[in-house]
Amino acid sequence: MIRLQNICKRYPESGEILAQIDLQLDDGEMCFLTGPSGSGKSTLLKVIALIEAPTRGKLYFDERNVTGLNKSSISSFRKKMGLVFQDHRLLNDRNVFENVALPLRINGFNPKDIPRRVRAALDKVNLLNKEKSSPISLSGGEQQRVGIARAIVHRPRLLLADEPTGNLDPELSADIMKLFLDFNQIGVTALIASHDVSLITGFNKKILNLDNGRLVN
Amino acid sequence: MKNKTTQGTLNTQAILWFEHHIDSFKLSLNRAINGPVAFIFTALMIAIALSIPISLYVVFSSVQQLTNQWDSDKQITLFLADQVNYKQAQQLAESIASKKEIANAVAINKQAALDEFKQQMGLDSITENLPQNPLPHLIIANPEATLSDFESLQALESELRDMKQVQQVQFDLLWFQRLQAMLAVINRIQWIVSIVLLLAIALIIANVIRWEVTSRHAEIEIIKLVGASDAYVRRPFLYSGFWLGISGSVLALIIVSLCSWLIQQSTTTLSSLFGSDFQLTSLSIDLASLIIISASLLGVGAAWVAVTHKLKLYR
Repeated sequence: MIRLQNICKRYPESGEILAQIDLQLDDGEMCFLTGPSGSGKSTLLKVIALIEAPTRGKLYFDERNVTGLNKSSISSFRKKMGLVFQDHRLLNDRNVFENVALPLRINGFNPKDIPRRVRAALDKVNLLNKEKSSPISLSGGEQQRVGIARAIVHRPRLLLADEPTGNLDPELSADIMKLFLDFNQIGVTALIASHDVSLITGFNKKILNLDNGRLVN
Repeated sequence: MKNKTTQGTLNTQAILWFEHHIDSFKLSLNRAINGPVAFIFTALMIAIALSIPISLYVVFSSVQQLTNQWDSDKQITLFLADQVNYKQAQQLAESIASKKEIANAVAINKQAALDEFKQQMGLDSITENLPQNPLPHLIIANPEATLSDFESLQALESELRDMKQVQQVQFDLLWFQRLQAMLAVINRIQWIVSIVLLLAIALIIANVIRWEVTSRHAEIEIIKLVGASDAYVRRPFLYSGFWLGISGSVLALIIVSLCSWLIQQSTTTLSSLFGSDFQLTSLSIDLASLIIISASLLGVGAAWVAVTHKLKLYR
């Protein structure tokens, strides 16, 4: 589904962040990406999400080269993805319901279907009773779950998560990871970056190790 | 069947597009209401900048109205040749009056002219001593009020001068010419000031929108990350520009109306003392709507430029 071919990313100020990354993620596969901080995990996810353009190399989505897409194609490409960030990135001027509904509204879902889909997503992350709350009034774990609900509400084919448990205690972290596992079981391809090796080893999924911008086995 | 589905999707897309416009409309209005101080300050700034060209227009068109009144007073005096008698003068006046450039023309008997001259000047004793009436018969003609350009007035004057019964023509064209030239200068100033201030308004709006985009950086980033197109991100900002334009222009119209009302109070006394019915032109509904529509479009345009420029930073 996703194939990276010799991807390099270099910033003028900080040098080479990613070097010769070859990586393939099959349909329905779930994969963890780990490595020390500064090893390039976030940059790799940003390249896959087309937030950052690679300096060299090619990125294929369903065997279609998406490396040099223009802005409008990028936005329609993003509709196939769900993104989860360490800092949740919720809109604090809207309630939980509206935050989760955002991808549906933007991606042109039928307004009549929106409440049903939003509630289904909130139900999966166990926040059905919080739909009217403001994100600021929620705990860190709850905010992260709202972020996850927003990432999966439009049934993306690919889920990318960057340190989704970075600010959470071990018990909550395990819960969040189990959520991703659940989504993977219903067919969503997932790539989850986490530095917490002890957390991810227990799930029996492929683990990619990134060190100094290179994939190591 | 497939066609039907495509048609259905198209309809849904159109409805969604329309709904997002309504959402953006409400959202931008909400933002304005939630940050009233900033919004009101900007709208007032636009209003003041816009009220200057509008008041210039009001003053200029009032002055023009006044000079039109003077124009209609413009009078051509024809001094006839000595050998022309009063009866011939009357016939000539009639034929002049029938010209399409002339509104009316009357012959004045030289005796009546002398009497009037005596009365006005109080020169009884001097005129008493004259062996005969030195004045010829006169014709006083008024050109049509619609005849207002210098060239046709000049043509009319020389046409009258060329008549063999006419000895001399008195017509203050130079004064008229000066007035027209002065009005042309004022008109030009009005245009330049208007263009400069419209540019200033566009810059004010663009700057405010730029600032708004910057302050919503995080939000725009998130919306882009869940797949929003540039047009989707741009829409609420375009409406913000629209709100600034429309409220600025409405405020400007209120300011100008208030000022002309205040000024009108004093001009009424002044013009009544001068025996003139001078009045400040009031803004017509047509012009007011034109101002509001143009200012709103200016707001949208300025916002478009500002947002599009800023959106280049986002992928």
